[in-house]
Amino acid sequence: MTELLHATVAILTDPVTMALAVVSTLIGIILGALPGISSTMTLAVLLPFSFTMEPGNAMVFLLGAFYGSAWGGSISAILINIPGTPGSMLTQLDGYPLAKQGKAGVALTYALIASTFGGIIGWFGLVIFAPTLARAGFAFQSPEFAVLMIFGLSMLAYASPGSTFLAILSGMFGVLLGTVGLDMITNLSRFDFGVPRLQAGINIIPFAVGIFGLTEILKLLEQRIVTEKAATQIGEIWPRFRDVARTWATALRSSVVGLIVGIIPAAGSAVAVSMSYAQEKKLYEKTETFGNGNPRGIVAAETGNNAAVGGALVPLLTLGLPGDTMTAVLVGALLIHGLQPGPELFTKHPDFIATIYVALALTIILTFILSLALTRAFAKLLSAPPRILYLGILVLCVTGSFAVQNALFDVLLMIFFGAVGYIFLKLGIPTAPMMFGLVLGPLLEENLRRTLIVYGDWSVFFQRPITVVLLLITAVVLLLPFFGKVRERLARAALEAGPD
Amino acid sequence: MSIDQERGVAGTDSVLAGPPRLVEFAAGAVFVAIALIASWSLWTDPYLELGKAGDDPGPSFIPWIGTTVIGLGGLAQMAWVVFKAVKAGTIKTSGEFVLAKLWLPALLVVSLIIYQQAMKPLGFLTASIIFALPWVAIFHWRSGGAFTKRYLIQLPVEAVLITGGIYSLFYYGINVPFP
Repeated sequence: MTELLHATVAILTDPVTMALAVVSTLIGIILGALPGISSTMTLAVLLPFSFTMEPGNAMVFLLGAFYGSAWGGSISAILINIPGTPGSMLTQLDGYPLAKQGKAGVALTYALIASTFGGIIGWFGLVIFAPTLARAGFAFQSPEFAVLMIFGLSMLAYASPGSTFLAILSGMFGVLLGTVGLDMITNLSRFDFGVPRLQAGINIIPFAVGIFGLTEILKLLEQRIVTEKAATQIGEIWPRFRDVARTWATALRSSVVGLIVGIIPAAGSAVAVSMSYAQEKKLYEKTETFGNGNPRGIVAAETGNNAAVGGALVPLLTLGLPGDTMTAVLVGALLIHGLQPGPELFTKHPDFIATIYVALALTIILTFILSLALTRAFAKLLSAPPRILYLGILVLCVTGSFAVQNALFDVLLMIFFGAVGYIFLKLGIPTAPMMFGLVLGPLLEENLRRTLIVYGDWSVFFQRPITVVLLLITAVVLLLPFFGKVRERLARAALEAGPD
Repeated sequence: MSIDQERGVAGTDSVLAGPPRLVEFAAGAVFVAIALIASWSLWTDPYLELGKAGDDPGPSFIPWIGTTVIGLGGLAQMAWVVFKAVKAGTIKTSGEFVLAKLWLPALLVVSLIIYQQAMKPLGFLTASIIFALPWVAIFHWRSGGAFTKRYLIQLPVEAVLITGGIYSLFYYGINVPFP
C-alpha cells in the first residue's frame, strides 16, 4: 500500500513521466485506430524508445501504448467497419450499424465508457490477483518452472489462430532461436554459423519488429491499399444516461469474463471478447437483437476486451508467462531493463510493481479523457494518406532495430525475420508462437537443465504435485484438437447414418 | 492433426471433403529444411556433445530436441498432405505464390538490404532519404494516388520530413549514435 502511494505521487508529480504517459497513450490510440497496425506492431516499433528510460518510465510509456491501442482498435471498428485490433473485432458488429444510423459519436462514447469500465475491473483484478498468484509462485522451483514453460508454450500454440500442429512446430522453432548464442552453463556457442554477432543470441526487438512490423508491410504491398472513408458524421457524442445505465449488468458480467479469460495464459483479448459477446447474446436472445446497432453488444465486447488487458498482466508479472503477443513484447521490455518477471519481482522490486499498477490506472484515465476530447480528430485521422503512415513505420522498423545495440547487424536480423514472417504467413504457419518460443525457450532450457543437475533424473517431474497437474493439463491441451476431430467425425457419421 | 489443420492451414475453406493445398505441403517442407540446417550446425560442431558434464544434458540437449520435433513434425505434415492428396486424387494450388503478388514485397526486402548496406558508407540520414524517396511514391501509387505536378514536390518533401523527423527523434531524443 505504501509503495502504491509512493508510486502514485512519484508519477503524478513528475512532468516527464506524465508527458510520456500522455504521448504514448495518444500514439497508442492513433496507431490502434489505423487498420493494419496491430497492438503488437505498435508496441514493437515503440519499444526501442523505452531503452534509455528508467524501468518505471519505460513501463508507463509501454503500458500507455498497449492500453491506448487496445481501445484505438474500436474507433476504426465503429467508424469504418474494420477492427484496428483483434480485440475489437466484435465491436464493429453493433458499432458500425449504429454509426450508419448517424450515431457514430454515441457508439464511440458507449465503447469508451465500456472500455474504461472494463479497464478498471481489469485493473482491480490485477491488483488483487497478482500478489496472491505471486505468493503461490514461491512454491515453484526449477522443475515447476520448466513444466510451466512447456504448459505456456502448449497453451499459446493451441490458442494461436490457424493450424495447432503448425503452431507447435513454429513454437519449437522459436525455442531453437532462443538457444542461438552462448550457452549460459558451458559458455559454448550454438547455431552461430561462424557469425560472431550471433554468439550474443537473437535480440527480441529486431525479431519482434521484423515479425510483427515488416511482415505486415510486406503483406500489405501484395495488393492495392484500400483507404476506407468513415461512413458517417460523428454527430452527437453523449448517449442518454438512462440508456447507459441499462447496460450495467452486461458491463459487469463481460468485465468479469474478460478478466478471467485474460488471466488464463494464451487466451488473449480475441477469446475474451468472443466469450463476453456470446454470453450476452445468449442471455438476451429472446428480448433483444444483436448485430444491428445494439449498444449492449458494444458494451459486452468493449468491457471484455479491456478487462482482459489487466488480466493478461497477471500471469506475465507473477509467472513470467505472456498471455498474448503484446505481453510477450512486454516481457522483452522487462528483460531489457534487467527485470525478470516472476514471483521474485514482487519481493525484490515492489516499487516497480506499484509503478505498473499506477501506470495502468493512469493510462485508463488518460485514454478516457483524451478520447472524449479528441473523438472528432481521431475520426479525421482515419482518412489520412496511408503512405505517410507506412513509410514512417518502415523507417521506424529500421531505426528502432538499429537503436537496440547501435548495430547494423540487428537491422539485417529484422529484415531476415520480416521475410521469414512473410513466408510463414503465406504458408499458413502462425508466427506468434515463434515469439513465445523465443521468450520462453531460454527459461525452459535453464530450468530443465537445472532440474536435471540438481535432482539427477527425470522422475522428479512425476513426483511433484504441481508438475504432475501441469503436465496433465498440457497433455489435455495438446490432445483436445484430436478429440474434437474424433467428435466431428462421429457427428458426421451420425448425420450420414440418418435419423434411424 | 488438429481440426484447424483439417480446415486448411493457409485458407479458410474446408478441405475435409476436398484436396489439400500445396502450401500445406510446403509448410512441412520448410520445417524439414530448418531441421536439416539446425542438425547440420549441431552435428558439425565438435564441442556440442550430449551429456558431457555429469547430470547436465549439455548445451545441445534442447537444440537437439527442438530440431527433432521440427524435423519429424515437418515430415508428418508432408506425409499427411500426400496422404490426403492421394485420397482426393489431386492437390490444390492456393495462388499465394504468384509474381503479381510477390514482386513488390520482394523488391522491398531487396531495397531494405541495400539500404542497410548503404548506411555505413553514405551515413544513416542520406541512406534513409534515398530509401524513402521511391517508397513514398510506391505507397502513394499503391493507395490509388495520381502523380500530378503537386505530388512531384509533395512526395519528396514528405519522404525527407518523415525520415528527418524519425532520425532527429532518435539522434537528439535518445542519443542513438547513427553511422
